Amino acid sequence: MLIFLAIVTGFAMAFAIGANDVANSMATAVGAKAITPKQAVIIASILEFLGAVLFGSHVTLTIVKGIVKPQVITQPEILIAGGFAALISSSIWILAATIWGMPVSTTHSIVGGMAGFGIAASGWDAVNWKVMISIVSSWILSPLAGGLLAYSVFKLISFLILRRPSPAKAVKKVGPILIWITFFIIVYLFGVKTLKIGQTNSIWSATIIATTAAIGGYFTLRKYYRIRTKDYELVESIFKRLQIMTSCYVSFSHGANDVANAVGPLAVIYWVIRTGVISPKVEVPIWVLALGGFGISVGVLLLGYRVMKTIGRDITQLNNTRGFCIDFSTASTVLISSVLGLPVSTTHIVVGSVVGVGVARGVEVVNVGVLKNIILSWLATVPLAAGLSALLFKFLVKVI
Amino acid sequence: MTRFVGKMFPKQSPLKLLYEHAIVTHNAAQFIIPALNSYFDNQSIDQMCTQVDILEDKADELKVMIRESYSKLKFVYFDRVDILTILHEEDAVIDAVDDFLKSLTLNKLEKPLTKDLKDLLFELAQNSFDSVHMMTMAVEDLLTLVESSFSPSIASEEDKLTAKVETDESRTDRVSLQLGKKIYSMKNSMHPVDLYFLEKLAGLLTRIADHAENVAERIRMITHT
Repeated sequence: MLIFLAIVTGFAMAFAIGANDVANSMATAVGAKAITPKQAVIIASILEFLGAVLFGSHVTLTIVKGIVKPQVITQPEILIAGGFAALISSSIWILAATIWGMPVSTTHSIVGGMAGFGIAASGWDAVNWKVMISIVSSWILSPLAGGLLAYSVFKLISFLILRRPSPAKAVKKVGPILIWITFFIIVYLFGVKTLKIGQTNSIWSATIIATTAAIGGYFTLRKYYRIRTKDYELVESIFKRLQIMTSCYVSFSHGANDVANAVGPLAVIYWVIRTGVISPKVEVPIWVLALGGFGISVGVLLLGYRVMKTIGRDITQLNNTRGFCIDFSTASTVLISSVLGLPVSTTHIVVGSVVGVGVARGVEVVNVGVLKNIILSWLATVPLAAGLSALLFKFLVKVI
Repeated sequence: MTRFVGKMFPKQSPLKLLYEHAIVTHNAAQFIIPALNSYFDNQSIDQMCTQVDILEDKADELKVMIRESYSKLKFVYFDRVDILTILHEEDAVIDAVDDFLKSLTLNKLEKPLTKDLKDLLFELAQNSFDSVHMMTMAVEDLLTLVESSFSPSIASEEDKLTAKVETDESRTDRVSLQLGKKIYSMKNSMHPVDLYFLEKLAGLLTRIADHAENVAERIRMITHT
């Protein structure tokens, strides 16, 4: 019964992530009209699932093991109640924030939820503050890193292509290099993290695939160069294709990174119920990751379409070069964080990347207290989710 | 969260709205010569006045949208004051066009104009329209400049265009001066009200070109910062 409830709660959380959070990964591509909302929903649901199943275990373990010290919690019932409290409080907070249109991070919510039950169960010592501080610093550093990367990528594209006397000629030359870099990063990280084929093999595979793609890109660019009508149209059409790739890359990495928010506590509950012991190391079964991925995909399919349609209609001034910079930077930051085992927030990295391109005079960005909202949500999410989780824990521990 | 991502971008690009405003102004300016022709052919220009009124209303709506949008923007391509100054000047162009057309409905000349005077008046009208046309192109090029991430080569193209508006404007000034002299030289043969009327028409046409040139000047300034 408890396992069933844990599955339902974990699925609900994954569904909420899919419904609300996934659009962040595809928003700029839909906004820049690189893909339609329908295509975005289909692509996102498949890739989020694959990312979650193939790529998700590492971050899941970081959250489960890192925030609450297992040795402090001695009774299995406490850990089960805590897992439920963390999951339910996060789901409620995300749902409430979604209704209010508040920019909260699912990652922040679950970290707060875990910390809340830990404190309620065994006091302040239950929380591994060293890990907590490193996570908190990653929340500050990740948007900064996303912003800096987006700024640099946009400036580089500006310098190498957009500001040239003939941008079409420049993109013909630089395009294959950009294709090479994009493919290299994706394949390299895929090799290291997903296939786990080691550094050397990953570098070789990435080099071969990226070189093939760049050669293919070179001939395609030559063809497009001959039939072009306007220089900037050619440039945009190239970045449109690259942006579709980077959006897929964002979606995949989002699935890998954020599935932990839904299935982390579920993995703890399942482990404790099944084994009856509290282990410092909690294995995450593949079906748990698949359940998380499935929940995200269902969320995207059922509610994501409406959200993406709104985005496609609302963001009218974004073009493909700027969208590519935002997507590429977001994906790279999320994936690198995933490799380092840091549970970062995709929302904040997207924001950092948008601001980065804005600072580089690439896009006009609305203020409307948006930046203030980021800081507010930043500050509010963890204590609120923790408080709610602590209250729920006090109740659940008596029931279970 | 998604609404949050959407909110980071303005619903409509203020720069594109500015270009739309320039097109509306251009469309209004297209009535200058047909209205003048109709006036001398003794035909009604009321319909044209109504159409310019409609365009002016549309321009006002766009003006409000641009102002609202700019008040919410954090990172912008150009300084807000510069863009609002350009908008103000574009607005002054459409206002002057409206005034010109309405002025034509106020008075009928007692005597037909001499050919050289009429030719000068038409030349001035054509020059004013040309200035507005070039102004619209300069605003359109701002979009390309942004797309090119402020490429020096695009900025130099923009320079040539704004220089052309300024040349047009100085030509307009010359023709306006000539026309003014011609009008006042007829003080003994023309009814004083007609003289005042023609001088006012010339003044309005010159004002249109002046404001178009102000737009170009401001564009030249912002493309060099």
